[in-house]
Amino acid sequence: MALVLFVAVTALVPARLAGCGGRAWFDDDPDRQDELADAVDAWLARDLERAGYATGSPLFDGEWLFASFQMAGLGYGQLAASRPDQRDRYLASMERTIDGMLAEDVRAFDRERWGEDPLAEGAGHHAAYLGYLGMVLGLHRILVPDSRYAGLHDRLAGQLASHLAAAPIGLLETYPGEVYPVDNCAVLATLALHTRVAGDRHDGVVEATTARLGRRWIDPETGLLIQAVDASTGEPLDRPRGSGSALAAYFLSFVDVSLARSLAEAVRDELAVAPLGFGGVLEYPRGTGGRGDIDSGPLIAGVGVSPTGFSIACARLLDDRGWFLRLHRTARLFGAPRGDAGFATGGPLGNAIMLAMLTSPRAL
Amino acid sequence: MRRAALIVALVAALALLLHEVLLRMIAGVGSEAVGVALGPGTPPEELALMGGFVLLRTGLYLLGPGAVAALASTLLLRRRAP
Repeated sequence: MALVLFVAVTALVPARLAGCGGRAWFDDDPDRQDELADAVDAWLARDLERAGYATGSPLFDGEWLFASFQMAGLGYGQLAASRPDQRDRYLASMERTIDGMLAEDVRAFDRERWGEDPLAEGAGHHAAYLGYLGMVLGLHRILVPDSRYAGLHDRLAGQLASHLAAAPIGLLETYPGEVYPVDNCAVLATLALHTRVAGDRHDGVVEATTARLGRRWIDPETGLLIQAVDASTGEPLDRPRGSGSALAAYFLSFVDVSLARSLAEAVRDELAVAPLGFGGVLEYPRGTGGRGDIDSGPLIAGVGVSPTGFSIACARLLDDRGWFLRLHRTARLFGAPRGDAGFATGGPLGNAIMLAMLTSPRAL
Repeated sequence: MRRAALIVALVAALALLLHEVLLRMIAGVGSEAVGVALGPGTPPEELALMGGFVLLRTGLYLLGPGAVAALASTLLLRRRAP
């Protein structure tokens, strides 16, 4: 009797306990949003520096510092757009993140790798730095048409569009000789948002690249996005993966909702698992296993931290309440949320990502 | 019967207290000792400390309710010896 009860309660109760707040998040409860935003504010007010991150690589430390500001900026932007009563508060926070991303020391990781400043006139591709920055600038300009960043936004979008039009394989390099389709989805989001605010259609480069992405770098078998490709031939260098696909679905929701939804569906159908009612997302398609890396985070039985976290945006994009609740339970279980202190295990990047994902658009 | 119910309530309360303590420890390690983020480059002793707390809390979260229920059924439904 005791054993039966133990098994039954273990199968049913922990997931219900961890489910607290999930429905409120799915329904955009303002108190939850403000609480997490406060936690992210507190992290970003700490004078973050590259050396404080512990990835084991100065490049990745720099990327994580930059991404902390970028994801927070997207989260604040989404909140400013959806909560007119809090618009000023979130715009101020958003502007702090933009200033953070533009800071000399924050863009140093990209400058060191390219050997040139990404913001210099005539700079190279810089797909990740410029693509990710451009998304936040675009969101900001939608909210503030006469944004003080408008000049930079126009220049950066023009630069990315002309590089993309001239790129031999039709994708931009994140670093010299390294091409990641997911970073190019951020570039596409930057250009799409720029078209929305400035009217410049960039000679159809967004439509052409989006179509090419669907034809060439979305795996026909799984519907997932290839993680890395050869910079000179465009041939896949890696398999389709959960982390890149889920993040790309979020980015593409600003570009082409139907492509974003089909990618999100592929993530759900091919990679989602739910042991004991806790939602997880595999990094590699079933039966193909692989190792965890800086993109996926640690893998537990194939389930990755990053694909699971980014998939929260996929669940919102698909308006799939059940999947969202399962993923949210996992975030609560491992993230150890503590009210306005945010997710205790998340640090600045984890909390910023959660803010962006949990407030991501259900449909644009 | 009342004694058994008291024991179960006490165990459940202790489990909740332990959970709260672990949460505070995780938050403390997460914000102070480790700095701003955990990653592959985090010193092994800090990673082990954080990992240990997270593992304990996760175990408690997943297995605690079942264990309390099993304890309750054992104590409360136990037949009195003749």
